[in-house]
Amino acid sequence: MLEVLGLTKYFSSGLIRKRYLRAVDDVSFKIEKGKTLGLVGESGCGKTTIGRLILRLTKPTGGKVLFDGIDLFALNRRELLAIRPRIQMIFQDPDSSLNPRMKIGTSIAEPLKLHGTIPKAKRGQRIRELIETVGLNPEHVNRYPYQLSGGQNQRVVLARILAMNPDLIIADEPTSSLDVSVQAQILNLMKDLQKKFDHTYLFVSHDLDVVRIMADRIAVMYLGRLVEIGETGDIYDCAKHPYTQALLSAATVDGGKERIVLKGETSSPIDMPAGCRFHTRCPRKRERCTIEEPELVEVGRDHYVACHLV
Amino acid sequence: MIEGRKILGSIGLGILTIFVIVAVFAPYIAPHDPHQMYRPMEHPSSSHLLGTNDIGNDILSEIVYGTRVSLFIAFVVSVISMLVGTSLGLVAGYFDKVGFLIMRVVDVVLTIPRLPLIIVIASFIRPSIWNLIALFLIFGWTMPARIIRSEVLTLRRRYYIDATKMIGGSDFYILWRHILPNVIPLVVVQFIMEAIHVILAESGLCFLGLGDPVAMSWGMVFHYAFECPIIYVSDVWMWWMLPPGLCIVFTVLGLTFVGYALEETFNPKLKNPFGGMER
Amino acid sequence: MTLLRISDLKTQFPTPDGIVRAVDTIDLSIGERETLGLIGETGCGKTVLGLTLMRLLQSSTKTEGTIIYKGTNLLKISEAEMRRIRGEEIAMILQNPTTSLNPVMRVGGQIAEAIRLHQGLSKRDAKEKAIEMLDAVRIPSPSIRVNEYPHEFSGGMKQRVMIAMGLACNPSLIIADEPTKGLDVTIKSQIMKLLKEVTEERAMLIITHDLGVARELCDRIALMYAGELVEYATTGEIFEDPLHPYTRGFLGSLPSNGLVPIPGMSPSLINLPDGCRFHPRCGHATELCRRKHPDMIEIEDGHFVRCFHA
Ligand SMILES: Nc1ncnc2c1ncn2[C@@H]1O[C@H](COP(=O)(O)OP(=O)(O)OP(=O)(O)O)[C@@H](O)[C@H]1O
Ligand SMILES: Nc1ncnc2c1ncn2[C@@H]1O[C@H](COP(=O)(O)OP(=O)(O)OP(=O)(O)O)[C@@H](O)[C@H]1O
Ligand code: SF4
Ligand code: SF4
Ligand SMILES: [Mg+2]
Ligand SMILES: [Mg+2]
Repeated sequence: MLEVLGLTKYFSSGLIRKRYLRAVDDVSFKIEKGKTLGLVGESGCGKTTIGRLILRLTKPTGGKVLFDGIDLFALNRRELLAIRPRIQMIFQDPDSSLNPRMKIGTSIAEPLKLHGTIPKAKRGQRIRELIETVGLNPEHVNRYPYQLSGGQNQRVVLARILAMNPDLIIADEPTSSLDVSVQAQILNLMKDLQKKFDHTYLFVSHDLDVVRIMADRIAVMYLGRLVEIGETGDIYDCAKHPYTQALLSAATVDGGKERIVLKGETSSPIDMPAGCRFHTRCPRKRERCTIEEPELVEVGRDHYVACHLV
Repeated sequence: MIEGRKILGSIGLGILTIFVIVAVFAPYIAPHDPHQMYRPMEHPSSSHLLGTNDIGNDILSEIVYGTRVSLFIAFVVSVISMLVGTSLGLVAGYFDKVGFLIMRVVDVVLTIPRLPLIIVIASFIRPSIWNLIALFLIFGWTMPARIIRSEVLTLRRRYYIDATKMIGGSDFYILWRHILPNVIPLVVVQFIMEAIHVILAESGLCFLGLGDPVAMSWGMVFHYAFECPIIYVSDVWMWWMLPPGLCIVFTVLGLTFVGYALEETFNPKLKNPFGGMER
Repeated sequence: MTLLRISDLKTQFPTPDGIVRAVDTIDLSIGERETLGLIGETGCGKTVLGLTLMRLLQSSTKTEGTIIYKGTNLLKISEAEMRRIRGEEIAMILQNPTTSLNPVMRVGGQIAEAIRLHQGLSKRDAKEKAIEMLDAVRIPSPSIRVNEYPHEFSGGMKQRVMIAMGLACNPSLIIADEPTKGLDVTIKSQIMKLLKEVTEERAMLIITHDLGVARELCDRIALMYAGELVEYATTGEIFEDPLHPYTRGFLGSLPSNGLVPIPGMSPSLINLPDGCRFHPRCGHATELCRRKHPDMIEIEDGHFVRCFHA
């Protein structure tokens, strides 16, 4: 369904002495139809940027994205406009993904109006359904985004996206501003919809418990690069990359496993360390790691790791 | 403070409404035909409330019709300037390449000293209302274009713009439906500033004798009064010069008050939690 | 020593559909070095409570009750005095970083502004301090990053900028609205460490959906439902021995506890249910619950619950 090949994005800044920030660096992965890929990684490692690149909201530096066999980066304006409704993204910060001067009801109606798939007369009915699906009250329809709470706005965004009935949903921390109970509702809803409509998800989250429940496969990123990718079970049970291991151990509350505490500072994507990007903090660093950058290698069925140790 | 703004705003609105009514209903309000000649230089009386001028026109009627001319010029210039300026500002802020070109033109026009050039050009071309309007328009669109563009530059970074792109909104749709409504407050403020500028500049030009001699605006009434030598030796100025002057002052004041009050209305809902200033 | 005492606090928004009773008769107090957690469903009024304390709501809002901070009633003082208190005495870390940061101002400038307004430092020193703060919230290359604009930051980085701004002026009370939203586990644990240090010498009100954060940082926890408090006890008791059915349901919807949402929807704050506000969703509801509104009662020492059958 979605195939990402060598996706790269460098942000440049500074007029005279150009500086490059390597936000996403040669990332490749595949998601099959009806499946969910969980994307995890440190804050600032490039997850949101990947989503925006797929949607062509940010210009890529290099690479290819194939959606249903169509090369998204080769499309012209008109073709892009036609394909966009099929790919939707739930942005990280719900408050700013709604127009502050537009009432909630108008915002939800907008996709229906733009596509005219539903006759005008039936739109009101559909909007009421959507509002109910995401657990909002009808009274919210006449309000502006600033009059709703963070979580309520998040659900408005979700309703808007469900109205499009897309094939691929890129969910950038869709539940981070929701409480656990509503989070459970929304996640269950997303899973139900996936079963019903065969949606494909790219699911970005920091909550490893959530990812575990939602994802079929998991990709772990560190400083713009994929460091490990594999089936959810494999990642949770036998993570190979030291960063993944640290990530998982930090998340386990009940301390079944020993907690790996990462020492050292996160490196900056502006002046990237040579060799393995993780070597400044890696507890198992070797000499080779500071010189040579590891490539992704297959370590098990559909399980790839980028580390010299494996 | 908010109350104060509201009161000032209402006062301003009141003043403007009166002038607009006068302008629209000039033929019913003016006691005489402004071109009709009576006995020249009459002092105020019950038939000529503000007396007559050196060629015998009723001054009050002249001023009432003058309201029409003055406001018409200000209105037409401001409206067209805002239409052109806003459209170009929107386009310039949203499309980088075209925007670059538009902004260079704006830069060039803005470096020209506005009033002196208007004076120079006005002294060469045949003075007429339409020429004046055209002259003001050359400059009028630049400021709104620049201000709107910089606002659009920040607005288009908002995620809701991306979110609309995602649901298949075209660029035109996004500009029209999502960006324009968010810049309207700025446009209104620019409109008021431009109107103030035009009223003042037009009066100034008339005062210098560069106005349209047949379209009697407030500035022209003032100009003719000023040209008449008697004005310096008698108290004729009290009913000939003062009233049009006051009209100009009050219009500007009215506009300023309204602008001041709107500023409050347009302010976002929350204040900055970290310090004094409001977001 | 009590630093802040809220009694009978009500905040209401008039809307065309009716009056929204977002905060309804809340009594709370925070000690000088206490960390209080505020937990509750999305839209139950947590943020509004925080904004009411800061007096940051639009002027059409109706507020009643008293907020006594160090002996003065914050609802009675002038706007000028309140401005001094904001930032210098009480700082709030807002929930929505994207809309709270000025898009056309450099990140460093915004942090420095907060510092300069209250501490009268020179421009240079304030910038130094801003870099220091960015470093404290673990943003790599802080001296380059201070000169960037908010859109160049990732979601989690903006969130940390908000924290940096809140801490910059050394306030005595910090209201942190979801301070760890959008942070991955490793950075979250670092930020929590920072917050823990910070709370050693000041008071903090943490609003959060992340029960792990609440558990680790808070001395006491208050649960809020539909505008009022329903349970209030020490952190240990809330987690070990929750008494209110809502609290129990809430803990049950954690992903690790099986992702079971509380049935039903949160009530409209315009038409609140009669009797106990939770009764339409409560498994233990009786006739009494439907008729009468329960009061907050102290069941054990320092453990308050608003339920007839607890
Ligand atoms: N428009 C931009 N200009 C310059 N740099 C950018 C831009 N957008 C993102 N970046 C940088 O790219 C890097 C990756 O950002 P991204 O938003 O993808 O991170 P993320 O993985 O989503 O993090 P988080 O979990 O905190 O949201 C960050 O260092 C960020 O500062
Ligand atoms: N300006 C306003 N006008 C009308 N209603 C409002 C306004 N602001 C907030 N509300 C309503 O008040 C209620 C409480 O909102 P609040 O933002 O405090 O929720 P919250 O508990 O912070 O939720 P979340 O966890 O989702 O952030 C919500 O139901 C919201 O719809
Ligand atoms: S390559 Fe070396 S530094 Fe990198 S993760 Fe593996 S062991 Fe650690
Ligand atoms: S009072 Fe009754 S309805 Fe309310 S929480 Fe207790 S048992 Fe449930
Ligand atoms: Mg992100
Ligand atoms: Mg909130």
